[in-house]
Amino acid sequence: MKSDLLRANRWFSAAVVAGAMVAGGFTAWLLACGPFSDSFETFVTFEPAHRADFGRGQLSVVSPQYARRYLVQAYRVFSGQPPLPNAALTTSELHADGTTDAPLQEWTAACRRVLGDADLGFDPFRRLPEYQQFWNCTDDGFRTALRTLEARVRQFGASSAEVRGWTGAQVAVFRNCSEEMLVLPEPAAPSAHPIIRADREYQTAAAYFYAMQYEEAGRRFRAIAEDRSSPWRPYGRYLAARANIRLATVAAENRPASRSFADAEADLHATLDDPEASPLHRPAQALLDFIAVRVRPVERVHALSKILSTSATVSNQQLIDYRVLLDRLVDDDQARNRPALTEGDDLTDWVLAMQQGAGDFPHIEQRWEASHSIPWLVAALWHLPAGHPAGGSIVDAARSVEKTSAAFPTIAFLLVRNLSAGARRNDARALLATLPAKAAPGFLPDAVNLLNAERAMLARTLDELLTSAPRTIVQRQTIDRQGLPPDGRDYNQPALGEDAAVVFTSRLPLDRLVDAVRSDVLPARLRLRVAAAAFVRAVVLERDESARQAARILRELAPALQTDLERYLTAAGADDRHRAAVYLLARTPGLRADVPGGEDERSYEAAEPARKLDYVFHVNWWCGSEITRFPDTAWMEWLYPQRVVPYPEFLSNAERAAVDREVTALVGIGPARAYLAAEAIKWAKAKPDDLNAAETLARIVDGWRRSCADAEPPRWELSREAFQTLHRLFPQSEWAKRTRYWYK
Amino acid sequence: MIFLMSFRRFGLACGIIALTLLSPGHASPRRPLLDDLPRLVLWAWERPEDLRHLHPGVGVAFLAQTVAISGGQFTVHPRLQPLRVQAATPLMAVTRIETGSSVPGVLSADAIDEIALLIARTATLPRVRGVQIDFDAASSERGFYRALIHQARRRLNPAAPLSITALASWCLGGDWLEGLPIDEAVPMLFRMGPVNAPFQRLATSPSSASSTCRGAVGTSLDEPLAAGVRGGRVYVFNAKPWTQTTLLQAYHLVQ
Repeated sequence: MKSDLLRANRWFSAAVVAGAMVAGGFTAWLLACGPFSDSFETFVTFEPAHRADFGRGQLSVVSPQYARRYLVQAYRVFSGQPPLPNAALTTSELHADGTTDAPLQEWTAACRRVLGDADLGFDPFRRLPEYQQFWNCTDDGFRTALRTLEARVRQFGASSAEVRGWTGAQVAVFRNCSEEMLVLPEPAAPSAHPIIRADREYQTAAAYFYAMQYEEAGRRFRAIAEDRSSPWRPYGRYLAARANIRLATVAAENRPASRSFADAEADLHATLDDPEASPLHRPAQALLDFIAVRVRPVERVHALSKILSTSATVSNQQLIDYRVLLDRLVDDDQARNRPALTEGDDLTDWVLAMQQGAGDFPHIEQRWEASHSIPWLVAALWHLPAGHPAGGSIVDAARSVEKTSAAFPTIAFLLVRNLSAGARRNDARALLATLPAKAAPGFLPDAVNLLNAERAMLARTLDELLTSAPRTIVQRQTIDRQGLPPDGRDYNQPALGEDAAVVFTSRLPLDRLVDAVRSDVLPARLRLRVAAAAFVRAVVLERDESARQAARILRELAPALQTDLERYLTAAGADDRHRAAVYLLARTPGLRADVPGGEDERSYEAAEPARKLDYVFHVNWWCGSEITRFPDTAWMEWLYPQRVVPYPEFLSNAERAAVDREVTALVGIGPARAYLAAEAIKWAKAKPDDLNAAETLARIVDGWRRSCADAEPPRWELSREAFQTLHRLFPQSEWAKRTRYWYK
Repeated sequence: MIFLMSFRRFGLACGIIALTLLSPGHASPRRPLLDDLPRLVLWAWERPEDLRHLHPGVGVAFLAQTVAISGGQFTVHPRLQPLRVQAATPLMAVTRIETGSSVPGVLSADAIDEIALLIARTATLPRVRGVQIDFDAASSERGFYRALIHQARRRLNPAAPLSITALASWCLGGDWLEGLPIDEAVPMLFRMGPVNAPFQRLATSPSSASSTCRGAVGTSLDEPLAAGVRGGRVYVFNAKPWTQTTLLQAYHLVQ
C-alpha cells in the first residue's frame, strides 16, 4: 500500500515536472525572440532625408512624391526665393502649437488664492452629442481672466469684496465650459464701482458664450461694443464674431452657417478698423483666414499660394491650411477642382503637376514652354515620356542650368536618367563623370546615392559596377515612429544598393561573381555578402572550381566559417567537397543564393552569415523567389520603369546566355530547405556511418518550419523523409535523440 | 518517508510554477463582456464617421481621446468629431497615448492615476462595452505603461474589458505582456514596412503568438490580411472615412 502511494506520488510529481518544463521551454522560446527590425534607407521618396539642410535650401534631389509642403519649399527655392525653415518640419513639429495646461492651472491657483479651497469644478472641454467634444474654454479665456484679476487686485486689494465678488462671478462663467445648464454670475449691485459693473456685463455675456447660447452672447457683446464707458468695448465686436463662428461651427441650430460667417466677418472687419482694438488685430485676421478656409476654399488656396511663394516668412498655420485645403479639394486623380485651383496659381499648378506624373506631361510641357522657369523644367524632366519630341529642347535647357542652382542636383540626376533612356548613354556617362561620387557641396549623400545608382546602371566594366554599388545610409526608419533621422549613431558602414544587388543576384554569371569577389574594390562587408552568394550558387549549380575559388575568399572574410570551409577545401574529392558544402550550408542559415540589397537593423549589425536559425523573422537560407524579384524600393522605378534590370553592358552574349541558364537552374532548384533536405538524404544513404550527415539531417528538419518556401507544392514530404532517414540510419546518434518531431 | 515529503513539496512547487506560466495573462479573470463583442470591429479614428448603416454584428472601436505626454506632464485631447452609430452597435472607447520623444518615466504616480481615471471614464460613455488603450510604447516606456495599465484596471469597473493594441513584436518577441491585467492584446499587422513583413504570419497563425495576443488581430483596408481564417476578433483600420464600399471590404475580411 505504502509502495503504491509512493509510486502514485512519483507519477504525479513527474507529470508536474514535465508540465513545468514545457512551460519553461515555451517561455524560453518567447524570450529567444528578437525585436522589430528597422530599415535603413539610402534615399527617401516621400520626405527629405537631410531635413535640416532642406530647411536651409539645400534641396538635394527633389522627389515628385514629396509631401506638398516640401514641394512648396522646392518651388520657392527653385524660383530664387529664400527657403522657409518651417517647411522642413515634421508633421508633428508643424502642428505643435505649444498648448499646455499652464493658463488653466495658473487660473485655478489664482482663484484658490482668493476664494480658498473652493470647488472650481469645470472642464475646458464641453460634450456634444455623438461622442464628440470641443475645446470650449481656450487658453486665451484663462489668460484674460488672470490679467483682469491681477488688475482688480491692484485696484481694490487682494482681500477686497470687489475682488472676491469678481472672482466668484468668473468661477460661475467658467462652469459653463462643461456644465449642461446655463450658470450666470450674480448681477453686480447698482452701487458697485462702474468697472465692476462693466466687468459683470462682460462676464454675463461670456457665460452665455460658454453655455453655447451664441445669439444671446453675440447680442450682449455687441451691446458692450456700443458702451463707450466699458473697458471691454474694444473686445465687443471681436467676441461677437467669435460667437457667430461658434454658431456656424459648433451649434446645431437652423441658422445657415454662411450667414453666421458673414456676420462674423463684418464684426472682424470692424475690429480691424478700430484702433483701440489693435491688440486684437492679429487674432481677428487669423479668424478671417479661418472663415476664408471654410467659406471660400479655392480663393484661400490662391491667397495662401501667393504668400507661400513670395513672402519672406510664413506661419506654420499657413503651411497647414494650404495642405489641408489641397487635401480636401483634390482627389487622388486630381480631376475635381483642378482647373479652378491652378488657374493663375503657378505654385499650386506646379505642385499638382509634379504629383500627377507622366499623364500630365502635355500640360507640363505647355507650362514649361510658357514660363521657361526652373520649377517647370524640373517637372518636365521628371515626367518627360521616352522619345517625346520635346525631349531634345528640354534636355538642352537642362544642360544650361548653372551648377550653383539649387535645382542642379535634381536636374543632373534627371538629365543622366533621361539621356540614358534616350539611347544617349555616352552623353549620360560624360555628364556623370563631372558629378561627385562622394558627398560634396550641393550634393548631399542621398543625391550621391542616386548618382551612383545611375553609374551602376551605366557601368561599362565590372570595376565600374563594383565601385558604384556601395551606398550611404541616410535614414533609419523605425517601425513605430517612421522616418526618424538617424538616431545619433553614425551608420557609416556602406550599404549595398538594391539595384546593384539585383545585378549580382540575377544579371551576372557565376564566373563574373567570382571575379567580383576576387577584386577588392567592394568594401569587405559587401564583398563578403557577394562571396557568400557566389559560393552557395557554385555549390548548388555543382561548379566545383568556382565554389573552391569563392570558398578561399570566404575563408578570409568570414572567420566564423573558417573550420567548415577548411573541411570543404581539404576534402578528398568533388563528392566529399559537395557534402562538406551541404554540411556548411546546414550549419549556416545565413548563407543565401541571392545577394540581398539594402540594409536593415539585423543585416547592418551582422558581421558574418548567421550560424543560428532566425526564430523571429524566419529569414533562414533562401526562399527561391529572391532570385528573380524586383525590389519594392520606390526610387528603383525611376531608373527601371519597366521593373526589369537589364544585363550590364559589359557582358558578352555568351555570358548573358550563361546567366539565363544559371538563373533558370536556380529557380528550378527552389527553396533552400527542399534542396538541402534532398542532398542530406542522398548523403546519409551513401554514407550511413557519417555523423555529419546525421547533423545535417537534424538541422534541416529543425530549420524546415523556420525557413521559407515560395514554390508550390511545399514538398513537406522531404522534411518527413529527412526525419525518418535520420532515425533509421542514425538511431543512437545525439542528433536523432534531439530531433523528436518533423514539421510541415 | 522523508524522501516522499520532499518530493511532494517539489512537485507542488513545480505545479504552481507550471500553472502560473501556462495561464494566460497570469490569472486575469476573463470578463464575459469581451466575449460579447463582435468578431469584426472597425476602428473609427480622428474624423467624422457615419456608421449608422453598419451590419448588426459589427462593432466599433472609436478614438475617444488622446493623451499626449511630454516633459513630465500630460494633456488630454478628447474626440472632436462626431461618431454616428445605431443604438445597438457595440462600442469600445479607445484612448491613444502619445509621448513624442520624451520619456514618460518622470510622470508621478498621481499623474498616472489621473490618466487611468480618464481611461476608465470612457467606459461610462453611452453604449460603451469596453475600453482599449493604443500606445506604441518603446522599450524605455514599458515601465510607465505597465503601471498605467494596472492603474486603469483598478479604476475600471471589474466587469469592463480592457484591451490594448500591440506592436506585433510584443506578441512574438518578449514576455512583457505577460502578467498585465488585460483581456486582449491586438497585434497591429499593418504599416510595418517590408522589413517586418514576416510578422504578418501572426494573422494566419495565431498559435505562434503569446497567449494574450491570440484572441484578436488588427489589420487595415489598404494592407489587408486574410485574418478571417484564424478565428478570433478582427479589428480593421481604414485610413479614410468609412463608406459603403469600404464597409463591404471590411466584412469580406472576416468571411
